[in-house]
Amino acid sequence: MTKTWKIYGIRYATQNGRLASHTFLWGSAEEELAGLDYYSWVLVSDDRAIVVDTGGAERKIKGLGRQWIASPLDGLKELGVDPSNVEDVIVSHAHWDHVGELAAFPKARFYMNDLEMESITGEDMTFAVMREAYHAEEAQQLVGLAYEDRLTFLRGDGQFADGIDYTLIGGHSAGQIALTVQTDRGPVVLATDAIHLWEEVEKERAFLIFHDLRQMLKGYRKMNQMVAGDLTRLLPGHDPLIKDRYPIVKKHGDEPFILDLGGVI
Amino acid sequence: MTKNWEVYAFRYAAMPERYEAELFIGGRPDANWGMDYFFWMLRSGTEVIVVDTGANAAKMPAKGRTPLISIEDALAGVGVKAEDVSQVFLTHAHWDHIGNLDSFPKAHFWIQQAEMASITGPDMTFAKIRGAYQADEVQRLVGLVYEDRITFLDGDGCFADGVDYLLMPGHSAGQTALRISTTSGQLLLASDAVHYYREAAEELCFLAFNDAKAMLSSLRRCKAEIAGDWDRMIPGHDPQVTWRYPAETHLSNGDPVALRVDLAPIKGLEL
Repeated sequence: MTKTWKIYGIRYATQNGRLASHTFLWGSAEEELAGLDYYSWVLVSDDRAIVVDTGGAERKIKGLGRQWIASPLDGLKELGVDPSNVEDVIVSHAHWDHVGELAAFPKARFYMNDLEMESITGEDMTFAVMREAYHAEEAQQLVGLAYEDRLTFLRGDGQFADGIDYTLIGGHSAGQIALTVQTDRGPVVLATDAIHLWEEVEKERAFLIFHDLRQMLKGYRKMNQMVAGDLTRLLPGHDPLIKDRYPIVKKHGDEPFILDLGGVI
Repeated sequence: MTKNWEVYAFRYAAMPERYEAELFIGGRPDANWGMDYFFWMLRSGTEVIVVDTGANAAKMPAKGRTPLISIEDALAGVGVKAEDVSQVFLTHAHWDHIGNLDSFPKAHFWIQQAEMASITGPDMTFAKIRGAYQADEVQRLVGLVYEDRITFLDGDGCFADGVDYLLMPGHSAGQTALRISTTSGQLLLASDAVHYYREAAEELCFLAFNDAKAMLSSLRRCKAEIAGDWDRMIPGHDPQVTWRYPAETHLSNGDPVALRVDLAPIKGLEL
């Protein structure tokens, strides 16, 4: 019998509005969107907690004018997960808002796709427009982890653990992966940034930041297929609608902070 | 008409004892080959291309190597200021070749994409392959990428008028040799594609490698390049280079520092 997991999303920051021209390819500067929410995730079973992405550094989030809610590390602690003892951190991709707290997990082994590492240290980064969402010091930290023998390279698709599979989607970034997680209500695909907003899949609207446009668009279709069209089982990485649609486990002040993304809707 | 270059090899460190058994598969434990450490420079008129940066002096003693002269002093001896150098070609990223990236604050760097992918990727999960690289030096290379100070090469190509680069994988994934036009004809600056003349002559398998078969194939390609004329080849660590070529500068004890390896050798070769 396959193991099941709880999926918690830790909503650590939010953005008060965003233009479609900053969000979608060919988006209009006249169209105002609700803005992105920022998440880190953790998969929890009886005996194990696996962190998925660490969130972005607070000073960077604030520096870009986003609204900081609370540290993703505090979110983990609220769930009874001590970052200093976490053993496994999956890095879905290496954009700055996903790898800002690598050092907060001193005992962890990190897992990242090999194409992502090649992209963030290689020729892709000699193009200024491709370099935008990656930061040198975080790429250097990931390299440092490899030399400490603390980085496992995932290749293509495979099984991460009982009840957790990874799939190379690519597109948004060279090594963007999605996770298929078995939960109490069946399999759920945690897309992270393979899909930022449900609208990308529903309307095939291309997100503005990408490594390979065609790969990203094909990824939308692939993930739709993976959940047999049931988008409640497909979790985007930044959609502000998430906080309205899933059970809230914990608030921080007025803001939904921790959500149960494997929960019953 | 192709540009001709002066080619310098700078002997910046040495290991007086380096035995065949430590160098090659099947090597004899009592045969001492020694090992010299070089970085190189090409010059044509006022244009200078530095090739590799040598090992970091502070790291050498712990690794049993003796630094003889600093990179800056070696270059100053032939009238070149490291701080003004604008072009540095990296043949590969082993610790004894990229140990002094910051000695060249104004330089743009060139390296093979295959080397960068290898030194930051799954190859580094093998301790034995990782051992020849230094994390902080690789991290510095990554930093250079984000500073827009690196260009990645892919395979063979033309680097400059009279300077071609040739991918010779095996010792490392992105090991590169240079084919250089000089007044004496074409020179193959093999760097570590060939450590010693005899290594190429006898197809010996050097003990530090990423891919053994590729390394041996690259030895053959280097031999094909020189078409039987061993004076056309400059291996990366052979002490014979130090004593065969005219020296322009010396240490206080008289040992050569700057060798003009584009000029006719003054001593024969022992193969």
